[in-house]
Amino acid sequence: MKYFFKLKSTLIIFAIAALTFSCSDDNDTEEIVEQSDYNEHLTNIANNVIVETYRDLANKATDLKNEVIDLQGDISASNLDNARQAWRSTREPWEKSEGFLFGPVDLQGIDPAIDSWPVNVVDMDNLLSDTVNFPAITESIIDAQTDEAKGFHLIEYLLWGIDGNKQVADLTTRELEYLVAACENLETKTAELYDAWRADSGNHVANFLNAGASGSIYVSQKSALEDLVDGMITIADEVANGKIETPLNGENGAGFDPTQEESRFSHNSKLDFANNVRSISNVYNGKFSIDGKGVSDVVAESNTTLDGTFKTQLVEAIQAIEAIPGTFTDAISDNRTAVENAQTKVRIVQETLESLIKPLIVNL
Amino acid sequence: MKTVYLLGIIFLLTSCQNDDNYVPVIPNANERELAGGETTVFSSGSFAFENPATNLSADNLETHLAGDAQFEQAFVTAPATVNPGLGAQFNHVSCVGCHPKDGRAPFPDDLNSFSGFFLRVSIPGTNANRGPNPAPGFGDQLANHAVFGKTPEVQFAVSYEDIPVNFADGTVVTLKKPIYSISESYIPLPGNALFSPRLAPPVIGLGLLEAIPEMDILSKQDLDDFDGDGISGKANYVWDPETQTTKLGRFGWKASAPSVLVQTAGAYNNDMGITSHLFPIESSYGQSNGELEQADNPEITKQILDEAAFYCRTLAVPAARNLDDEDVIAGYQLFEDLKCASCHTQRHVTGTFSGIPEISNQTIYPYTDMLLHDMGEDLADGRSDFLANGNEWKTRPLWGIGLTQLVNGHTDFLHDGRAKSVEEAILWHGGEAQKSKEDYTKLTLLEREQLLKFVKSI
Repeated sequence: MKYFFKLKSTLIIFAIAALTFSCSDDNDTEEIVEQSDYNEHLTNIANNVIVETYRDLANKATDLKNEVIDLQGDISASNLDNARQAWRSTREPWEKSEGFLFGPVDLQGIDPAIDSWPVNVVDMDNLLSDTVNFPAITESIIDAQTDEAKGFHLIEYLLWGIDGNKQVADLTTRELEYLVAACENLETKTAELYDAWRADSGNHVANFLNAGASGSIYVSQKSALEDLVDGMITIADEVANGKIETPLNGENGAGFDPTQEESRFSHNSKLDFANNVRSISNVYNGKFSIDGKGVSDVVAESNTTLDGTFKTQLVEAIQAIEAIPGTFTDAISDNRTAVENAQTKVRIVQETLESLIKPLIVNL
Repeated sequence: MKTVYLLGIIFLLTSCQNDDNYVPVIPNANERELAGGETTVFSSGSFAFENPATNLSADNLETHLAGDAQFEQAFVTAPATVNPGLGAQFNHVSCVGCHPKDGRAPFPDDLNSFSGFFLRVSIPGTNANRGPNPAPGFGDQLANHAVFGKTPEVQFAVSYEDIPVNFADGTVVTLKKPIYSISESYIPLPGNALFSPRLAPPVIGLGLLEAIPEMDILSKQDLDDFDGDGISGKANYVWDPETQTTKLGRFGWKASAPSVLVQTAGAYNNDMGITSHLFPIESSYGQSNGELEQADNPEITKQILDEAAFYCRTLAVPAARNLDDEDVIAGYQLFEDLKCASCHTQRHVTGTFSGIPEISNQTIYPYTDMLLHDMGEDLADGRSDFLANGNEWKTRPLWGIGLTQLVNGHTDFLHDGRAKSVEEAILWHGGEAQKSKEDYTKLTLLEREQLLKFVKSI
């Protein structure tokens, strides 16, 4: 399907090109195929979905760091619980940003630096024990480690433990030092990400606001829309065929494998997946801090049925993920049908994006 | 929009006053747009290098996607449940770490951060297979990272020397020539060590390049410059650890790997410290700072290696863009006039590739002859690699080059990213390409822009 649509678009382009070449004056051609104006859509998605999600992420990461500092100062069960809640709260905007893994998050290596997986437990343990060369664990020491010894999942490991049942008494002074340093590093990286996008700093957002104009990395508004759709496809694929599939069926179908689950220490995976689909929904609907124009409005211009169908598919995917009983860890062995149903619903989202929405955008 | 297209077509038809005027076009523009033949994807955004060949069968798509997952896996220090075996010494932890978005690594601000940059090393002479002679205690690649508690082999350093290039119209472009050195090493490096810098290239369309028939590549060799055009072209012949024979070299900046599989296995071994059946010994084995544990080798299965190689073999090439643009058409003519195409061979037809019919028998436009050329003293690394001497580099494919800025956020080109734009990459050409480079500097500003537009369109 994908190829068919693309081929068709080529043929149209060539038909026009061929006609163009046969004319003595082709100056009018560009005006004829000029696109509609999608500036309002791109501006809303960039300003009010992407930048706002990153602002939320940076703020929550600061909260997390503060909670962990509180825990270090007063090692109590309630402070451990607060730190865990703060981790979940920070995780939410991050998962809601994975529908747009392009731009600074990728180009500046921030995605791997904050969300690498698996955790390098051996390196972490060796650093924890090496009090001779590293009498204090600081943010700069953590920053110099491989990405697998920092970020969300290492913090998760330290807060919950490998089996998810860490007790407050299990926390060592060194672990708390590592936790604080890792959270400071997360705060720095998420602030870098927000700064890279916002207009009064790195201003990556301008590429969307000015798409098609000189100075933007996007030669056309269509090219910017294409990135938005590719971003949505990428995360739908990742959730269905990576995050759900690998634990559910193992690597190369070797059988279910809980060690392949991404947020397994905190049992946050179901929420992670649902928030990933919400990130698609937010970009598609242009709705996060406010409800503005999104990709939906572009699709609806030429195909209201497709727009309506896709919106329903997004809702159904989120519902199916949330309908998985208990933890994802247990469900991959005990409730496989529910997990498979969720996977199917996310695949439908991916399929619609790939075979219907992407071609529609490419052929604008 | 359909209506608009139709109206447009009608308008064009009725607006034609005179069909006799000659309007230049790019030959085979239709075929040329489909740069990767039937594998081509119409994608021109940030994700343009990450698409499976669009003609993959369901089974092959499944293998490709499994390889996609392998390409992204990060390795960690052993023992571990998932992805153990990193290092002990390494340059990076994953394939995608060096090939971001399956594209080109940026030249790093800090040479010792995790990046797609490293130095190869050897001492004079050759190994038993006529390849580079490994530096004792370092092997043939320098690792600037190590797992926690181990010492990296080296730390890299760089300084620069200005090389001004004068254009006929008075324009001056100043190239920065990097001069690399080792600021720290765990034991002293041999005094006669030879270095060659590398920056990770894109991995699109590699299967198509592998499927170009050997005879077609060899037929373009002109070792003694018989035709007198100043351009020779030489095939590299290299050791293939898979077949244990000497083969035509196709991959790597000096064509020192015979296949995508060997290139991939070499990267696992040297870049990440991950052993496979093709390279079962740790790159740092036997070194005083290295890995002594041999019981866990190979650290990846043959299946994982095969999947990762399959992924690189079946990544789609994005379609060329704007081939009907007036400037692009003029730029194409300049590309021909300046004899760029003497080495950047535009068109190839692939042969039969066992197991992957989708990349077989495809008409492709990679813009490479797959041969080694003397590129002059300024680019020379002075380090031979099988038959490639210290001045020779393999012609790079140019497909997709115009998308580098969008996909990877930079335009650092050539083997170590020393060229900061396509224009600088042209200006670094010397040796067999000296005349073409000089002719470029004689073009007008408009002509230079047109040539660059053409290169960026393919």
